[in-house]
Amino acid sequence: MAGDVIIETRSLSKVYRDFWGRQKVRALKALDLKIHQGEIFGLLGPNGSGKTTTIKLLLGLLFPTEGEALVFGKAATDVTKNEKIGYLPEESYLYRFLNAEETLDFYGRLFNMDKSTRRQRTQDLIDMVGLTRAKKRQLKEYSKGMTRRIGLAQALINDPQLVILDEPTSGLDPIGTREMKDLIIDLRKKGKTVLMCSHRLDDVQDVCDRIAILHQGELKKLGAVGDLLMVRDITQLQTRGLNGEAQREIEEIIRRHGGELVSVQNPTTTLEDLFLKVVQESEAHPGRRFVPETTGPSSPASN
Amino acid sequence: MNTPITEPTWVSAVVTWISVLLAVSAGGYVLAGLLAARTRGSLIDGFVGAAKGALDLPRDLMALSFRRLWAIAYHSILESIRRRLLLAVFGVLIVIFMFGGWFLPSRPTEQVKVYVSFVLLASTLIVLPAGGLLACLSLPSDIQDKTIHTVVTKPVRRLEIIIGRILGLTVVATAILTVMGAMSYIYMRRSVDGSLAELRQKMGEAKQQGDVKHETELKDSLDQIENKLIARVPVYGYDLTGPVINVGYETTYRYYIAGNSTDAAVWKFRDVPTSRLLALKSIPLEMTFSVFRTTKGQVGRGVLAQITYANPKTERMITDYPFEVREYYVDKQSLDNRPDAGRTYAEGEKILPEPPADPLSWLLDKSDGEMTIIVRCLSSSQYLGMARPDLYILIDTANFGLNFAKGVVGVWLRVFLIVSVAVMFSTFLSGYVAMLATAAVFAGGLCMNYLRGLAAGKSEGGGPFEALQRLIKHENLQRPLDPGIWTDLTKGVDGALQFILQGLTYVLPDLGVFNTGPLVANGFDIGIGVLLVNLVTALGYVIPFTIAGYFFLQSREIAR
Repeated sequence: MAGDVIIETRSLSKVYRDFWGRQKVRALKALDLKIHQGEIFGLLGPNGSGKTTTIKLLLGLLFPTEGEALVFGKAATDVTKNEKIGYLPEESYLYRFLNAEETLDFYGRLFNMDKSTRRQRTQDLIDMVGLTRAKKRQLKEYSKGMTRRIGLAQALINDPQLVILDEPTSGLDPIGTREMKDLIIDLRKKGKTVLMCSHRLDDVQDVCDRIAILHQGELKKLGAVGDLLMVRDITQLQTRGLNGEAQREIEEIIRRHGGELVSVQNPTTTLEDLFLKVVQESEAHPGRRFVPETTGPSSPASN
Repeated sequence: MNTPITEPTWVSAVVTWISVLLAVSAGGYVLAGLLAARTRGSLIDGFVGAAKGALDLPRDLMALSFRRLWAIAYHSILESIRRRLLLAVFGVLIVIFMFGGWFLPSRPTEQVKVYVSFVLLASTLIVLPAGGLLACLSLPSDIQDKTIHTVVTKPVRRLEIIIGRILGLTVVATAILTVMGAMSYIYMRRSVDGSLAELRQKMGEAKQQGDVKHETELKDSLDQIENKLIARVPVYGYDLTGPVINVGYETTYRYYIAGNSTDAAVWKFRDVPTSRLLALKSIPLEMTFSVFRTTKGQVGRGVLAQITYANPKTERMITDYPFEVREYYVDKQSLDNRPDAGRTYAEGEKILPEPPADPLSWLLDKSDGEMTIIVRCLSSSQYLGMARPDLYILIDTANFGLNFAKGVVGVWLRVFLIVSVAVMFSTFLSGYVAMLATAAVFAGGLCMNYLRGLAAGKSEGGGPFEALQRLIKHENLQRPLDPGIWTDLTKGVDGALQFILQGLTYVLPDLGVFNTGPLVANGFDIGIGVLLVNLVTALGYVIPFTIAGYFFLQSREIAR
């Protein structure tokens, strides 16, 4: 992978306990992950798979039970790392009694931005997310889509190097979803790193460079989207101008018949199919975990 | 009149600060470690985690940003305004002012005292719960609504979250108190000025009708009201010797001297600003003595007393004319600078045949601020009762309105303290539990003297378990408990509770020391020194509470 490591987890585990300290659930089991600069990384998994726990651990909202989480080479609990992070939570947890301008101004102050910079960033971001006409309205009057937009704006107030998006397209209409995906791709073009988790597999497939699939707190798959979706035991030839006889000895026939070989490749499945397959396999073989290799391509391994 | 005169000192404030800082910080760390142990799985991990958080304190302290602090503070202010708390507060205040007058005593002489006490109490009872409620609910509701997730994922220190909230809510409380103070003052002055005008009108009518007695009574009432509408700057004696007779009252606040005897009450003063007295050309005294009569005496005549002013360095003395003691009133006597031959001038044993040309300069020469005031009772078979604060030199008077504002500052300090306590609790307790805990601290802070007595084992009837045993066995408070295993057990448990209580008395803020309302109500100036010491004492509590809150917030998982 090209860029520097932005996020790294080493045997990251999280156990939730009850009031008396008794173990309630092991939400994350020895997660090893590296996310590099400039990539869009997707965390996938069914409900309760540990996606949100991973994000919360990376943001320092939870403390790991074992292992460690590093962001920009610093411990996840180190507040200074937040200077370079933008975070859009799943539900856009914002203060409903503030209006859009006040919201962005408030978060801008938290980044210690001076007044003129705050004003400029606020204006630019409100324009960008299309809330110019509603900027004086309190957030309690906003629709879910509008709330997502202002949530996104607050995540970008500091022009972050790492953007963490929890269900970024949730609540958005098709146009909003398209705009959000375009924006995520734009962020990559600007050299930003994006970590997102989503249930909408088509969104992930459209924008992510690499994905990790979690199930029951364990990492089940990790790799480039193209690699993971590739069906390796099937070769697909795409040709033009051939008749039916040419199908037995393809290359020879192509050569003999003067046909043009356009491509030889493996077909890809959909992310939805892959996701369902991983979940089914995980349920059939609980405890089998993907262990990423330190070098070379990633491969499945049982644990 | 029982006027508090024991002013807190800088030394006591510093000692309080160090002890509270250590106690609360240590307690905060232990509690934070225990709380962290719940989420981290083991006690060791919990305490290690809390220690790591604690070690971040100096770094976070250095990284404090005023812009971030103000952002959080301003946010709290906006929250209070937008959630219409201020409207609710002022609504309650208006209702109280509209109908409060119906239930207040209407005796003119007590009017200022009653109204000042009432409005300051009303302000306290409105602003304290409002501030405490906001502070208790603000952070827990942020955690519950998860709005805090978007805050702590910014480069905001946990310390900034705590200080910002205390700052913001204190600004809200300050704004409310400023408006309430102004409204209270106007309300009180309108009522009192109305009474004054009425008294003046009645006095004019009595004068016209030639009713001297009624006119004198009305003038007395007028004087009493006007005497409360000032802010006296007194100099109190540091020692009183002489009155030793107990006339049989259960409360022994005042002791008595016998009339027409060698008995004398001797007040010793130091640090008397003699230059100020020379500029005033008098030594103005005010006193409130009580009289115990063993005979009816002369009808219509009061008990006679006489004052001697003495310089202990030069042994020069001036004995003034006798005067009638006015019971239940503030008696005013002053030694002016006239070389009045009717007074007695003495130097040691030697009585001067002629008065000095400038009696005050003669008396105060080389005194180094020391002075002795001697009071004797001249009426046979009558007794004059007094306590040390009953006599003082009235060195100056200050503006009543300003003094009222200083009284409001006393309320503000209490609110400031309660807000910081509430914010601390809200870092690890849910909103309603934090409210209960804050209310407990408030109640404990109000009865600190009782708690200190209980912690020292001076409570009559013993500790709570001994008291319970006495209740069950129907035993009175004086009789020692029968020896036996139950008594030993009871006393043992009470001893352990005493130990805990002793620790608590260091942690709980003594809210009584901030109550300067009685000084305002009785017409005494609240010195700037008192205000500063109270402010430092309040900060002495707020800083450790903030540190403890930091430990809690630092060691807790925000997203749980």
